[in-house]
Formats: sequence, structure tokens, C-alpha cells
Amino acid sequence: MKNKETVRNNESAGNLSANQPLSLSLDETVVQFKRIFNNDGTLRVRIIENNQGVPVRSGLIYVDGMVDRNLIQNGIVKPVMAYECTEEDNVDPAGLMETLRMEVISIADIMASVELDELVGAVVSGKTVFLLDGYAGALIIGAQGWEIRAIEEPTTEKAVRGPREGFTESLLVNLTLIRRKVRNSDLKFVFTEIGTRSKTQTCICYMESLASPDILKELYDRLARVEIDHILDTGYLAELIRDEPYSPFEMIGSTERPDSLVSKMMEGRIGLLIEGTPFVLTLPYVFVENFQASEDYYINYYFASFNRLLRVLGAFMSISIPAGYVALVTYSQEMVPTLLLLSIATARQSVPFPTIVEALIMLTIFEVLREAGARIPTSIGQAVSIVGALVLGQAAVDARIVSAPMVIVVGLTGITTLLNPRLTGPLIIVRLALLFITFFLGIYGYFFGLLGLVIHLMSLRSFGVSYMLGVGSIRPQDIKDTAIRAPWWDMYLRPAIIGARNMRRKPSKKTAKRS
Amino acid sequence: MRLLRRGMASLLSLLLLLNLSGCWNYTEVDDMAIVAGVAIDKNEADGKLLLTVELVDTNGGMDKTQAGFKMISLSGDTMFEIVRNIISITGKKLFWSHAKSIILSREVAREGLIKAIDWYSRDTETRSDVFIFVSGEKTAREVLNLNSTTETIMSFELAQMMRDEKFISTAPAVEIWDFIDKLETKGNNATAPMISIHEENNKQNERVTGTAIFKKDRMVGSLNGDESKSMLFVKNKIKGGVLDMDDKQGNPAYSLEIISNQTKVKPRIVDGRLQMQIHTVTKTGLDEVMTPQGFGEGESIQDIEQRAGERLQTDILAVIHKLQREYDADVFGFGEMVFEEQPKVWAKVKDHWLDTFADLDVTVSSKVIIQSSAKTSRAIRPGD
Repeated sequence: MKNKETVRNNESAGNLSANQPLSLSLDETVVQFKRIFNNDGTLRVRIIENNQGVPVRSGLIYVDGMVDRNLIQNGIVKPVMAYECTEEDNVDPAGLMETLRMEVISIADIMASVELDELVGAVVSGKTVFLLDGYAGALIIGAQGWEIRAIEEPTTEKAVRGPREGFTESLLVNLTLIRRKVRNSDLKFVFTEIGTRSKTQTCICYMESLASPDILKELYDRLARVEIDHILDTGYLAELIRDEPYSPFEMIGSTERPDSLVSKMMEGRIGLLIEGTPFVLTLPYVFVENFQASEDYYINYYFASFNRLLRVLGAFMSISIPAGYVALVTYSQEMVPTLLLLSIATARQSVPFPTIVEALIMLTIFEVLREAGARIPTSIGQAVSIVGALVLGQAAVDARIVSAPMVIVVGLTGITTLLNPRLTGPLIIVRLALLFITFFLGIYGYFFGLLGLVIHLMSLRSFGVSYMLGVGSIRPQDIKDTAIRAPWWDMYLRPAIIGARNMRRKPSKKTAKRS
Repeated sequence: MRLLRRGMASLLSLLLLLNLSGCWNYTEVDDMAIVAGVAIDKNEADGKLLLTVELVDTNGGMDKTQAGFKMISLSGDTMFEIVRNIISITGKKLFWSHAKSIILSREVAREGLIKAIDWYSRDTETRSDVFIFVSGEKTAREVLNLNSTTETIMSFELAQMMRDEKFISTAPAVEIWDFIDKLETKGNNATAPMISIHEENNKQNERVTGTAIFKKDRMVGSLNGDESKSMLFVKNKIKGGVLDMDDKQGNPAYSLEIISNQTKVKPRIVDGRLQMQIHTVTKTGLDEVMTPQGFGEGESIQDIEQRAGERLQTDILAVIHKLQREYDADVFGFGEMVFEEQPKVWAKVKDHWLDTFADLDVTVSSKVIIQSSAKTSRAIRPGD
């Protein structure tokens, strides 16, 4: 009971602060702060007594660990202490404050404020508040400094060729990474705050001359409607602002690579970054982006196209293999080549379970191994593969719990899923759905399910852009960057609709020849 | 309300779709007996049909590299009755989609095939691309039973043999749809390959050679391997094979490998009578010369070509005459050709076509071209 009351008191204190005016007295303001930051051991208050001329008292309030102490020491405390205060200053505290701000404190990021609410916000975001006794105002000084992770190669999107830097958890560093690639004032960063409690800094970035104003407006509208008390990763936002909330497919892209984000912005897409995660959202998102890797654009286009086709084939196989196997073995045995049927029948002798149960057992085991491999520390990661390959694969076949062809089927399914890391989730769901419908209806059900999948995909929209953009098209320009990757000299238009505002990427071949 | 209506509509269409799916059923592969082939005999005791099915035995497990086989015989009045009754022996439902061959005994063939093959072409599970054979032995069963000596699944082996038949051309490869098609066509008679047991050193092997000749659905006679080849020449079905040739003295001396053959049959009216004009052009390669002199010395290539052509011509005429006089069966489909090219004549003769066929004038002109002499241009010449 007591705890609950304290919490409620804290809440009321936090809410009340908004309306309180700043006091003239330094001590009173400090007390106000201490009340707001009740039970917070990281709040630091430094009172500076200056007796060089006329005595003047000032104070610093900051949160420990979020500031650069050296900067505060050399940029604020030292010069303020050395300042010789005149009689004139004593009479006019506002003038003194202005003098301190303009002439004494030697830190670049500095601004004045008279609202307690704003000051509290500044303190929690790592800024330092400078107060002067006898003046009902304060300075907010940006002297933040905390440990951040170094820029590293992104682990989720590895590339053999191409830039090796990846986004970090720090928003400002991330923006630097983008800005360094696009040295053009056309690149815009718009900041906003999301999360009623966490107040996470969010940045929308886009190329003003390329991004569609309609999509941008739609994004602002959706962000304004977001009601959540905290966000820790862009995954929260992606789920909150996406279209088709019940579809298993991702409707908003995410990347860890600055080069990938920039290339998407250059096609008219919009990026959405938040403080605290290296994953950046890109929108609108279309289906073929699932198959694109940034490396595709850096390596030879034949090879890149081949890799893309492999990924598409992989995704198709990943959903089709278990269902197809079950359909052929339990319903349409006449479609299996005779010798293959004989070896399957031989292998299935004395296996106690129906094919569907066998398939479910092995698929579940595979998913368990996958999830275990992703979660456990790398030092014992080898154990998983040993258990998976030896114990569950070989032993299960020897013990006649599953048949050998099923191990091949599940192995192929698993390996083809790994070709498309972005699609892993949807593929698993679609695969199971197809497997069940096939179990009930045979190969007929499989095609029925596939048809349903295509209808579903065709009906999706991401921020007004058809999810299957370019897939059903027969115009050469539309398919240049889909299942294949056309050479750069041939891609002279941006993707339709997304890049509609300024379609021409570069002069077309014809124009180039004429000039 | 709208959502409900949409839901109901999709549910309804889903249910309706399920009814459109045709024939399907859930079966595990290990719960069925896979039929490899079937032999159809007439039971000596009661004169009923005697069915012998060759089943693939999948019980061997994975340690065996090759699937085994099982034979089951049962007699009964109708085919389907027997097929269903076999379940009481195997305990598993027979699965027919992978059957590869049907062997019919001569007796069944002579009495009429329709009763034996109607079920096979009518049932949903059986395939119409199964190969059909007529046993040259007393029963069809004993050919199928050969698998006990050859240790392989006989029916699959026979199917493999028919796929390679084009390299020998001594028997027609006939699938059941083709057989039934010929059976139903006016101006055409069906054929089927003959299968017999070839015994050598106490080892028995199956051998497909010769042709069974049918009139309607009854077998009326047979051709041997060489005659079959000549028949296939007329039917333009030669894809390969060997023409063996004697030298001038009449000793076997040359082998000509058939590379390609083109046969044209033209029904013509000559002096008011229907005449079939057959032209064959055969491209061959000289693949064997059994004389030490080599082919260039004893006689020229042109000589060999000419004699081969003459020989082929005689052979073809002989087989046509045999079919005209002995069996009176138009297995070449001459009637169909007359119908296609001389419809007015056909209208006059179609009602008594087989009589017309028996007296039909036939001319044959064969041309054999030797294109190459295989790898070498010279013969093996013994040194000292």
C-alpha cells in the first residue's frame, strides 16, 4: 500500500510541475527539482559561489552519467567562478544571465528557458541546467556525454562487398552516417517525440524533392495517432503504424545499413529512426524488397540477379516443400516417379506416424533448433548443431520415428528459409497453413492455398502503394529491380508510384545518346 | 452485417469448391500394395479369368538397395471382382497407378481382349500408358514368374525394355491407349509385342520379339522378329535397328545400322484399281564388315546399297503378303490412309475393307543410303 501511494505521489508531482512557475530563489528551484526527482540518486546539484566581485550564487543541475564532466568543469564551472561580478550585474540579474550566456560559458549548445517543465525535460535527456539566484529563468546547456557503442558492421545484413558500417543505438551518430552519404541540403531530418513516458526521440528523414508529400502526410498523421507509453525499438512503431495489421507479412521495411537506407531514400522512400536502436524503418515497403540485399547493387548484375532468383526460389520452396511432399505421398502417389515412390514407401515402412505428424514433428524440431541457436550464447552454440544433426536427425531415422525422406524434406525447407532472413516469420506461418490445408485436401488444397496466398499478397497496400508493385507488371521498366537486378546504366527511372514525384533517376539511354 | 455476409459467401464458395475437386483420397504410401504389373490367364480348371499381380515388396527396409516383389494369383469372373478380392490376401488396397505392363496369355488374346482390358482403361486409378504384351509361352503367368530367376521386378524391366525397343525394332511398343485406339479405328488393326522366355545355360530370361496380330479384339496370328521389323518399316515406326547383309556368295558379311528411316505410303488408283505405293528411304551407317578385304574391294558401296534396298523390298513385300493372305488383318492402317487420301474410294470399300485389303495391289520401292562407315574407313587387315 505504502509503495503504491509513493508512486502516485510521484506521478502527481510530475504532473504538477508543468504548471509551476520558476522561482526567483535558487534554493527554492533546487528544492523544486529535488522534489520532482524524488528517490532519484543520479540527480546532481552543484552550487557555485562566486566571490570575485559582488557575491553571486548560481547552480548547476544535471543527471550523473549522462553529461561530459570535463566539459562542465572547463566550460561552465571554471569560467563562471572566474567571472568578476560588478555592481551593475547585481542590480540586473537578467543582464547578468545574458552576459554569462554570451560571454562566459564556453559551450556551443546553449539556450534560455523559463519553464520548469522544459528544464526537467532537458535534465532527463542529459543536458545541464544553469540557474542564477535572483533570476526566474535558466539556461539549458548541451554538455551531454555518455558511452556509446562504436560503429560496427551490421550483423543482420552482412555483405561481402559494400560499406561495412552499420547504425548504432545513438540517433545523432546515425544521422551523421546518413548525412555523410548525402551531402545535400535536400536531405531533411524532422524530429518528433513518441512515447508518453519514455519520450523517445524520433527522426523522420527523407529527400524533400523525391519523397511523396502524400505519403509523408500520411506518416505524420499515423505517428500523431500513436498512443503508447514507451518505445524501445522501431519494431513497436512498425506495428503501430503499419497497414493490414493482421497480415503476417512485414508492411514496413527495416534496415541496419546506412547505405541501404540512403538508396531507399533516393528512390523516394522515407526513413524513420529512433534513439536507442540501430534498426531504421523504411516506408513504403513492397514485397520485392524482401528479396533485395544491399550487396545486390554493388556486385555484377548477372550474379546479383542470379542470387535474387535463388532467394525467390528459396522462398517458394520453403513454403512448398513440406506441403508438396505430404500432398504427393498421401494423396497423389501417381504423380511421384515410380522408383522414388518405391524408395519412399520402403523408408516409411514401420514408421508409426502418419506423414503429416512426421512432418510436424520434424518441422517443430527444426524451429526449436533455430530458436535455440538464436538465443543461446555462442560459446555453447555448437552443442545445438550436434544435438540437431546427430541426435535428432540420424537417431530419429534409425529409431524409425521419422523416415529418411522427411529429414531431407525438412532439411531443404530449413535451408531455403535461411536464404531470406527478412521473410523467416511469414514463411513459417504460410508453410504451416499450406501444410494443413494440403493434409485435408491434397494437392488440390495446396494450389488452393497458394491461390489464397497470392490473393492476400495482391490485396496488401503499404502507405497506399501496392505491396506487389512491379510483380505483376509486364512493363520492362517495372521489373528491372524485382526478381532480377538490371545494370545501373539501364535503371534510369525510379520505381513507379514511390518515386513518382521525380521519376527520372538519370537521363534515359536515348537522351544520353543524343547529347 | 456486411462482414457476416462476406464471411458467409466465402464459406459457401469454399464448401462448393470442395465438391469440385473430383477423385481423391487420403492414403499413406506404406498402406498400399503397389502393383508393378499384371498377367491375365484363363484358369484351366474352371475357365474363369486368372489374374496374377506382381506387387512391389517394400518391407525390406532401408538396408536393401532394391525393392523386392510378391506374386499373387486369384481367379474370378470379372477383373474388378478379382482386383478387390486380392485385398483379402494382401491386406492392403492395390495401387495401380504405377503398373507398367500387362501380359496376356495367348488363349485370352485369341478369345477376345475386351473383357480383359475394359476395366483397365475404365478405372480411375489405372493408367493408359501401360505396355501391353502377349505371352508367347503357354501362360502369361510364367513370364511374370520369371522374376524369381532374374531377381528383379519383371514388369519394370519389361517397361524399360520397351523404351529401348527402338534400337532393335523387332517388336512394336504398344501402350494400352494405342491398342484400344487401333481397335476402335476402322481400317486399322491392332498389334502387340510378343514376349517369350529365352533359355540359355539353364538361366531364363525374358525376350520381347515378334508381333501378335489382332483382328477386332481377337489375336489371329503372329509375326517373328524379322517380319516385325519389316512391318514397322511399312508403318514408318523404325527409329533404329540393324539391317544385316550377306555378301555376294551369300555369307553374312555386313551390318548396316539404321540411322533414320522415312516411309511414305500413297494410296493411288492405277487402271481403276486401288494400289498402295510404298516408298522407303533408309539412311544407314556401315557398322560392321566381316571380310578382311574391306568393303571397298569386293564390291562398291553402291552395290551394297542396292542389294540392301532390294532385300528390304522383298522382306516388306513378303510380310505384307503374309498379312494379306494368312491373317487378313490390316495392321498397317492402309484403310485409314485410303480414308484420308481417297475418301471417295473409301466410301465404296469401307464395308468390306478387309476383303479389299486381301486383294490389294502393293508396290514397294526401297532405297538404302550408306552415309558413313562409322569410326574407320578401312577394314581390319591381318599382318603377317
